[in-house]
Amino acid sequence: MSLFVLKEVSYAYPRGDTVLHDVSLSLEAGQNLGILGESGSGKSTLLRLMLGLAAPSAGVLTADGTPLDIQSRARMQAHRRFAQPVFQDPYTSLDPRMRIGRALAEPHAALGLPGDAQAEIARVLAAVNLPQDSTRRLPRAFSGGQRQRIAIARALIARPRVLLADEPVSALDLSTRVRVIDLLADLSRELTLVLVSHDIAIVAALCPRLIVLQHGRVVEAGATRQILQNPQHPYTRMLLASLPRLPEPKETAR
Amino acid sequence: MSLLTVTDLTVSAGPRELVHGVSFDLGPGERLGLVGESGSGKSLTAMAIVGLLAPGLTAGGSVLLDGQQMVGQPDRDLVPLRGAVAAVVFQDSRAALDPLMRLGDQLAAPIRRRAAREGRALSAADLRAEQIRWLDRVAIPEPERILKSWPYEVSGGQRQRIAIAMALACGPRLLIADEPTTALDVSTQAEVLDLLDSLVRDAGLSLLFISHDLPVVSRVADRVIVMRQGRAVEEGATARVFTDPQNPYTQGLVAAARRLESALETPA
Amino acid sequence: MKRNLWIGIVLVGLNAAVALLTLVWLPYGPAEMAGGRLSPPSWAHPAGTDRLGRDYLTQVMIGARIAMTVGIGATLLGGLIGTTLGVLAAFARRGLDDALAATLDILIAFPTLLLAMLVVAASDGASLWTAILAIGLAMSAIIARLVRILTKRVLTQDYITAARCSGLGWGRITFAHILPNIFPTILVALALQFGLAVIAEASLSYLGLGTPPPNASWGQLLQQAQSTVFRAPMGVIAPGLALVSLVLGINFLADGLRDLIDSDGEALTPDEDLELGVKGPLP
Repeated sequence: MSLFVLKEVSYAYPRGDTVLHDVSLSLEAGQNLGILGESGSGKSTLLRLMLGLAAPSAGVLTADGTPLDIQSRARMQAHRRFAQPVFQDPYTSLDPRMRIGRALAEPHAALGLPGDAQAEIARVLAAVNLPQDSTRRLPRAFSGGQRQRIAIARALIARPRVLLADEPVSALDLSTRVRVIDLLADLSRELTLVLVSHDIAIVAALCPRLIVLQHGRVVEAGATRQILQNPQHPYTRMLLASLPRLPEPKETAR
Repeated sequence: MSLLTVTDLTVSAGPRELVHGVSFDLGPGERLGLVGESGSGKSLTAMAIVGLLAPGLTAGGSVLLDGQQMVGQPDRDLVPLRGAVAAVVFQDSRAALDPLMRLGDQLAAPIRRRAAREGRALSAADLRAEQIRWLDRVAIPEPERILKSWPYEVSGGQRQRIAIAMALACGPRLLIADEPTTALDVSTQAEVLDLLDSLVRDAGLSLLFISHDLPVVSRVADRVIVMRQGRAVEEGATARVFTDPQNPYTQGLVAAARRLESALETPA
Repeated sequence: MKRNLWIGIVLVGLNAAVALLTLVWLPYGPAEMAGGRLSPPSWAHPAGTDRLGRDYLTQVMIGARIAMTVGIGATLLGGLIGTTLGVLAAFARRGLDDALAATLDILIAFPTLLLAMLVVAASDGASLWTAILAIGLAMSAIIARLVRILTKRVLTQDYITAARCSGLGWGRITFAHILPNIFPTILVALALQFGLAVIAEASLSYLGLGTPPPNASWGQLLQQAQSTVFRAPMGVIAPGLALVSLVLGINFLADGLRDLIDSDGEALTPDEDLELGVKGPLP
């Protein structure tokens, strides 16, 4: 069974522009999906719909086999356990005045999750390679990469089957970025990742499936490998061509 | 003779030293990249060169810009040099442009300043022609409409082009670009980099390009300095540093960048 | 650099101590004709006496209690109503929010004095409570506007979205995330408003819209001593100094609090002791 199925989903702001037009996609377990797009492509809106933070203005969004009704509290509590977010900016995704222990305990209590909260916190901290005494500290004691790990840990508390990540590494330094990508790759052995990014290299590193969004429409979809080798849509070709590359290493330098 | 000579430059916040003695030369027409991660001091170094450090930060050592000492000078002595010798393009074009001023009026200021400096009379028609010429040079379509627009009415890419036009309209010999494309989309970034490249080449400008993005730097700079925690750890020709790095830190950075790129050849 | 905070604490603490002292001890009774009329300062009457022979020091001390009561009462009232309204406005739908914002702007433009006259007219005459009510209501509009803006800013942060995705309702988000994050700024604003409330109370009672005699507030003392200012200057100087010391102290306190919060926010760099090896070159 597909984790997510979107059928001709559109989204328009109340009395405003339509930012998504007839987007269809399906997410299969174990097949990380990359959503590639630039600003104004509607990629973040798509993620908000999948998180159930807003409802499509048209079309059907099915999660875990049933349509998502964001008005139903019971359905949404179940959806929170099914899909969790990771945000771009590690500096605003953690409450600056809440100690890490409380921040991690919060979803455990609010979602009524089984198991001992302290044991679960220990489990997720270990999963993101942070020391156990992190719980006593405030977010400001951590670097950007460490904060992103904490944000991922918070998402993992619910033992979600899908992680919806919006540009999770683009605010991070290069070396930190590689480590967080490794962590996400590690985690995606047990859950499925939807990764929204403007950076095709990061999408390629993590996602075997890819859709390309331009102005709220899917212009290309398929296997990442094929799209990279043989992009069909001019926009995809342009994105690939725009990517600055390092100089080719000399044979001897390797 | 060098246009810019930086010798043992330090930047301190009170008792804490953030940049610990950086030295380099930049000749006319040369393109130098300053590469580093956050906290490396690359932007502080650039701001110290033009005397634009934030309050509370002090520079030490020596920065000779066109023979003029920039360190420890009162701000009023530096004002004539900014624009005339060195101009800066920042990462955030939204912050660089005055939101309450039409783009045409903002672009007029450096054009007038340059004319005044060169003792040229500038009629209204001359000014208009210069404004349009600059917008043309930064490849902005419909220059007439843009001149009457407000900063919020144009896209991020266009704002950055206008910021570049304003920087170059002063007629500087050195352009300092501090992460000028970091806030832009990939496709816009490519266009702005192409534009910077050709403008700097055509005018024979020196370029000091600051970025955390190795591929972007390799695209524009002939020579790079890699900075880490306020120190220059490696310097050399871009092609050499990025293909055969000597310093362990640079090796780590280049390896990380290559790993990200390698995903394009062998995706997940 | 905590000098401001300490000056503030000492000045406000002094006023608060005197106010508390008046509950258990006073040099003379408030209405007691304890000495000669308009007698100059002496050991028995350090600030002299008024034209009825009442001890000025006693009255100034009582004034401190009234000032503190009105200050605390009005600030509590204004803070409570203002914060509630502000948070609600920030959550309101677009149209309703705009209407609330406009209403607040009108209320802020509405003079406190006029409001006080309305409150006095609506109750059975001026009292300590009408002053607290009028000043507190006027303050609540200012606080509500501030809280609305602060709340809206916090609402845009990703940690709010994260909390929603953690299954928290808006009520719990308000108490767990919004209020703790806007509280420091509100605290500084309330401290400043406290000072303004003390001045407002003095103005109201100067005009006879405050506490009735014999529990005269500083404003009323100033008004009464006005006609005899040349014969007994202490009648003006003593309550004047007291007023200045409290308002100045409150402002120092607010400044000190602000500095404290600013330096708190500045500490955004990672702790040196928590380098977890995620920095530095890759293997």
